[in-house]
Amino acid sequence: MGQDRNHPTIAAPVRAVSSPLGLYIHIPFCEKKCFYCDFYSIENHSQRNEFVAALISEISLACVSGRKQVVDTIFLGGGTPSLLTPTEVETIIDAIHRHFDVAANLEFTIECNPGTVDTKYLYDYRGLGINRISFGVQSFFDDELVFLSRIHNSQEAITAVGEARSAGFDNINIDLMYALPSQTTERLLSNLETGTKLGPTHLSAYALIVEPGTPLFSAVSKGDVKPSEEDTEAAMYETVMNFMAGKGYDHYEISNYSLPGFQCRHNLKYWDVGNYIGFGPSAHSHLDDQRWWNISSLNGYLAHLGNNELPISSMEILSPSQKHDEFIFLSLRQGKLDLRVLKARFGMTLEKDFLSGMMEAGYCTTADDTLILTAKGFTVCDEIAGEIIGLRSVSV
Amino acid sequence: MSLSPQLIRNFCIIAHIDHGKSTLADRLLEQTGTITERQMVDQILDDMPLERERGITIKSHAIQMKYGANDGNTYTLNLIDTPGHVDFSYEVSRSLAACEGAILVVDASQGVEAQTISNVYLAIDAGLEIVPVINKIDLPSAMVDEVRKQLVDLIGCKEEEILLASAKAKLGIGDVLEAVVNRIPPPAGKSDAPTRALIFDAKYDSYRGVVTYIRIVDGVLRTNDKVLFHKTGKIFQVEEVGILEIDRVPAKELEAGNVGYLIAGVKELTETRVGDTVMDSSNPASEPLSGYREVKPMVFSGLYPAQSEHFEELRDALAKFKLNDAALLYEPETSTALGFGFRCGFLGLLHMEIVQERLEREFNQTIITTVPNVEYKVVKTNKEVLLVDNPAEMPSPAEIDHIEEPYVTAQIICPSEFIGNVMKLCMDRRGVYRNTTYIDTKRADIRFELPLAEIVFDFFDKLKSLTRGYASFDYEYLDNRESNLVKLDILLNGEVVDALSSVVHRDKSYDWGRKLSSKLRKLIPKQLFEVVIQAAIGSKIIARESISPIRKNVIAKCYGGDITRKRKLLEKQKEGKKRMKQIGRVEVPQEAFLAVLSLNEEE
Repeated sequence: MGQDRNHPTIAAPVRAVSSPLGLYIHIPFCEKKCFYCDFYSIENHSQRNEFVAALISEISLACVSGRKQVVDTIFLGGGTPSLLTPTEVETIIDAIHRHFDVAANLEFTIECNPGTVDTKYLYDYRGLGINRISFGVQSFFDDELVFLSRIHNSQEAITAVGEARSAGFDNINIDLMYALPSQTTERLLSNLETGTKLGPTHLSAYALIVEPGTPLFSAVSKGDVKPSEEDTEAAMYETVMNFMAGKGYDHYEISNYSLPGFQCRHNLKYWDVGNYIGFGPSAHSHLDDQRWWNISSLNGYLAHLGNNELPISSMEILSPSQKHDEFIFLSLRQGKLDLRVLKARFGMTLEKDFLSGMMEAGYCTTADDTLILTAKGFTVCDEIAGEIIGLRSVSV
Repeated sequence: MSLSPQLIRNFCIIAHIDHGKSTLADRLLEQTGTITERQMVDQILDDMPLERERGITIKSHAIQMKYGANDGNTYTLNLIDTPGHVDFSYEVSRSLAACEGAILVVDASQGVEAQTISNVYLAIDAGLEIVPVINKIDLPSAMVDEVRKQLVDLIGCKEEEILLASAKAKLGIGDVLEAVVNRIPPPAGKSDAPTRALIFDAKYDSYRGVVTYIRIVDGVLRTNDKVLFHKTGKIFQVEEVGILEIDRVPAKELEAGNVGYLIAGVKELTETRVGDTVMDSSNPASEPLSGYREVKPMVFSGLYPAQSEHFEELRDALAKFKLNDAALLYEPETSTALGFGFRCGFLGLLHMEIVQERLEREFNQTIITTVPNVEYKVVKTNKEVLLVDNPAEMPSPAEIDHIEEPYVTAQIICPSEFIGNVMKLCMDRRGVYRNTTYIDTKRADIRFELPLAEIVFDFFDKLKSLTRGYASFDYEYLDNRESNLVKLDILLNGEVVDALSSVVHRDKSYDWGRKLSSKLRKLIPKQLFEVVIQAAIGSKIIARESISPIRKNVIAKCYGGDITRKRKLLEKQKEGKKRMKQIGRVEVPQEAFLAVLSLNEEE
């Protein structure tokens, strides 16, 4: 039962850990694939029942050893999880309860496409203990929604948020996109205004990224779509940051803003190098110094589980230098780098000259031995991460 | 069974690049049955991948053939293949000294070119019998009559002595072999005189140590003989002698007149010297053979590991490299910008390029090369004389009385309609016009005296493009001359980057500084901070450019729990940075250090 780095055999990956786990469950179905999206999803739903059954057996296969571990966040993502009936969701929740100890303060999120919401589903989801809902709104301009090939319109999104609230959801996220081709700042501000008026506890604003392999990518390559300029994108990003700060939202990650106390605890596990297990095709997991991920194909996923095998594609054991790199860039994505931890865990100190240069240029401030990114710093966050990571490779 | 010198012929082939030297050599090997057609690959003697790729010969090669001539005798023919490029003319003269004759190959469609002429003079100086061959006579563009006239003018032969051939089409190869036997004299040495052998090349073999290639002039060399290397004074016992076919073939002895190899437990190339005479240590000859002039590097540049921690690896690579290229000179140097590296001397630009490329390919080194320069003779006000081969080491202007730089005689052969272009180019490069002669009605031979520094920068490329590829070029060191030169510094964010300093003529310095700064602005990527580029002479700033800070570098997207993907992107970014040099706070890509070389492309 050797553990090869490239061809791992993880008999039962879920084992005793010191902190509560997060569970991510990937539902790989969509009504229609959006043309910018590079997450794994398919439009053919014919294998839905097989998928739910396989998911249940994946959960039990992963948990065959030891006692039940504590879970305090669950995230149903996709794909479009809201395509699942409440009964299907319940089956999954039951399986989770059989194999995990679910904490009382559980944060349980479901992602929803405003175009597929069934009001009755919302009540049932809430009744099953789901207490956070995330809507892929993207824009409140119908032409932008058409461009993004979304299946809903602006009014449906507004209605969906209202219905969720009526169904008892008081922790609501809205996803918006900016830096769409030829999008104006006025439109961006209008989207932010409409979005925040709906009173979400949380708002994510993502720049449109042209990912290889997507229809958007080929449209850009052919010259049919002209992506926004870097300067425009940076300026829009700053616009978002300033606007959200003005509305009292805390900018706690590159693209995420929340009212105090409403940060997404599940996503924080990703960024704090916490422990989480992903189930479903293409789902990623991290436990201690191990990362692994499932195969990105429903057929492959079903085939593995049909053989009672975990559908793991690859795994890696993080080296000290990889842990160091991750700590730095994940900290910076949250806008802060704790210099004491950097020193204590990785023996790395940032030179005074480096820090003062960064401060003079307006990229960061420091307080309480922590480097804190400014809005300008956030726009070049990856550059700063690369720079700090590079400092180590020179000094060692 | 001793070989009679009467049945030995030692010869080489000289030609301008691309005139068909290697193809003719291939044919001779084939026709004499030295190799079968099945074994044959093109340019069989050029066994270095780089040689085949570029279609050039870099190292000398020697090979022995047996040829059954029309007179009924079987002759031993030793062919010594030579490089054609001007940078390697020292290799040519070495090989010539081991021969009695030379086949002069001229392309029927191109005619006599600059390197044809320079190589012919080397051969005539060495007293060789020249067998002129017009090659590629089957080409539609062949001008056999014109080329025949050019050859008569050049070497003073009779028209009927000129052979016609097409190595590619296998025409006239038999005539060439017969002429080698009938016209080239047999070696003149005496078998009974004290042994003298000329080392004309040496190679390092990781199993056998140094293998020297020798021509026995007098006497004989046998296994177990004790031999004396005249110049180094070292004595070795002969482990093996033999002849050179496609591989080394051991023999009991090598006799006067023959060409072969010698292995004698020599561990380092420095213990042998190309041009030295090998003697019998128990009965040394009274006089050594006349050797070669010392090879002098003409072009210098700094070689630095892209990552400072790889300095030791680069040192080892250079040491190994030098085992097979005695012409490469290097010594450690330190640059404030680039850290520890080496100042290297090369025979010319092609030599520099080849060394660099082979270090990267064969020795797996990632290196940064600084702008090449020549060696300046600096006379200080206190009369002290310095040789400066690194612009960064140029004394301050106040200390300098005057600076001298090397000049060369340049020979350019081109169709007469391009004379105007060539004149203009040479004048722009501070050339002093000497004269123009006509090779025939269509082609001119133009002579200029040029500062070597001016041809180090893209001269040949420029010349080619100004003459639509028709010009050929050769040069020879002439003398040192006083020039009005200044040191031009480049500052990044106020700090002088010593590796970017250059020495230029005062009249050109402003233009140069402006172009160099603007080129650097394009080569240095945007960074977190503004980068200010300045060009300066002494404390005077003559040009300024700036690179605005990077505006956006963040992936504002959620990858779910897929942290690996994001980390890999950063690792890639880190890899990219490894190919950059950190100077102060500025990251400078390698290409920037060679920016000067392509400055004129901008116009």
